Amino acid sequence: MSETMRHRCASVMLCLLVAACGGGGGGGSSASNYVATLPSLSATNVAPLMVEAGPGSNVNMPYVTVTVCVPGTSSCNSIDHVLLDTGSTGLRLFASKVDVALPAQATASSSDLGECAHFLKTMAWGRVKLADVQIGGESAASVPIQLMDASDARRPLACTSSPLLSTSSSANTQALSANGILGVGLLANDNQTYFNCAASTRNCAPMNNGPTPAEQVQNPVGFFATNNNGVVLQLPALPATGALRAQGYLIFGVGTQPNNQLGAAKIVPVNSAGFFTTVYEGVNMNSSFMDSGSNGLFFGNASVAICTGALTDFYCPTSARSLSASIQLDSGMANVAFSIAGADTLLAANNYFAFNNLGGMLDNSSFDWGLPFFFGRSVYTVIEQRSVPGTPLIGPFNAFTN
Amino acid sequence: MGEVMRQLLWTCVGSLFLCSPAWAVLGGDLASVRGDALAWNASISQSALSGATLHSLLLPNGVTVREYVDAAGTVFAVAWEGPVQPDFVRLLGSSFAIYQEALRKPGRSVGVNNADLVLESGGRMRAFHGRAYLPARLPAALSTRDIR
Repeated sequence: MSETMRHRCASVMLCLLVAACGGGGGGGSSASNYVATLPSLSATNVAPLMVEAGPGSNVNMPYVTVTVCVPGTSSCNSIDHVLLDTGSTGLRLFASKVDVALPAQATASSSDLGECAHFLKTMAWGRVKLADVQIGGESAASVPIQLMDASDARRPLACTSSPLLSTSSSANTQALSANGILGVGLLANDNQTYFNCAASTRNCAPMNNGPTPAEQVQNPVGFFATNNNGVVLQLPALPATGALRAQGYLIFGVGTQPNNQLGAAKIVPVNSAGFFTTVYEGVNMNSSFMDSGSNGLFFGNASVAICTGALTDFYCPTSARSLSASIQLDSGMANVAFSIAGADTLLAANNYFAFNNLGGMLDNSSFDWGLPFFFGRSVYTVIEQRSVPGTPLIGPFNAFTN
Repeated sequence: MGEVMRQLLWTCVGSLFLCSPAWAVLGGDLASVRGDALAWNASISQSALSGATLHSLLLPNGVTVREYVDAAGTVFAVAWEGPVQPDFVRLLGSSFAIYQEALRKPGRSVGVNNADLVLESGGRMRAFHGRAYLPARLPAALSTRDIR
């Protein structure tokens, strides 16, 4: 794999990464193998959450292992390195990673649904299937999920305007650096574009009567018997130089067990789209969100230098910048301090995969609190219309500890 | 889901989209606005702005597309919001290839900012938003802040 990458390398950073791998030469210093951990936590509602090297070379990817089974059977696949994404809804696995025969999600208008799911810069095409889903000690029965397949010849033209998520990059695909995406965001269903693949048309056909919200790809957490109102992500704090691996936890439920209480966490109300307001340098950014699937802190700042070359749009200050922004709470604001270091130096220094100070540009209506925000915190995501026991709180909302 | 950083293996733009569709909207004429409404099965309403007419299209999938037409009948700006991305091939017309190039940059932002085209695209699944305009064709009485 690394040999392939070396030859196909079209990116300065990818070159540097490979060089760091090959050039280590058994250096073996502890500094280049730092692993950040949290105290042991074991419970039915907990799954390990690892920010580490995965299938691909991307950094700041939080991974979980997900098991999918033919509903009601023990015919299962365990899929490692699935990206844990609080910024989307639904489980999407690459079809090539699943060899058990999951049944199609049949609805009144199609016995074979296809779906085009939109991300900001990519799309995911594939059929909708039903699976029993197990994560950690929790399980959900007959959840509609997507099996992503960029090579499906019946993909409709409407699903061609962005690169398709795939296991490798090509002219029309974008490698994900994960075997799938577990979307555990604020919303229960994904409300994306569905197609009828049972149609006899050459491509899967657009639908006048698409699946109902309940028939669409779902946040699997909502299907658990208990601990089903949201998730808590806990990741260890990191030094400014990052870590080879950060080991944390994905905890299911909010306020349902001793290990997922809100406690003194700050509650962040969101609008119907799941956005809240961040005030940064006096600007109200009212489309802000917390997204474990974004690998940096993304926000507009004209005074932080942008990287040149292949890392363009990431920040490359010559020395680390200490910054802060305020998140709008129910009443008052919460100040959040953070640091932005040069993406070039971070990635060149060690072959590390976890950084709390990686950032890049974004339009100035949004502050994307990506994975760097999650290190050293508990970050809560409560699903729409789900309540938190013992409180008057109802989702959707986020919360976080300092 | 965010972006991918070290995967920069793109070498070419999908040749499928290099040609300019005849129904280009950004830079197209008033007929292309009606063509969009028809193609997207959208309800359409219009309102007057200083030096321009705003055509708002509401699509059955919940996407709103706003198309700005100047006095000469040219679409000089478009804006969108919705749970999914709009049909960019149709909406951006001859600017679509530039959008595709912007998608392949690392980082999370999707932006184009040059003398011919300004494009901003943001949000996430179920809450996308953005705008694109031709700076040279912006009516004098209109601010870029009005394009939203």
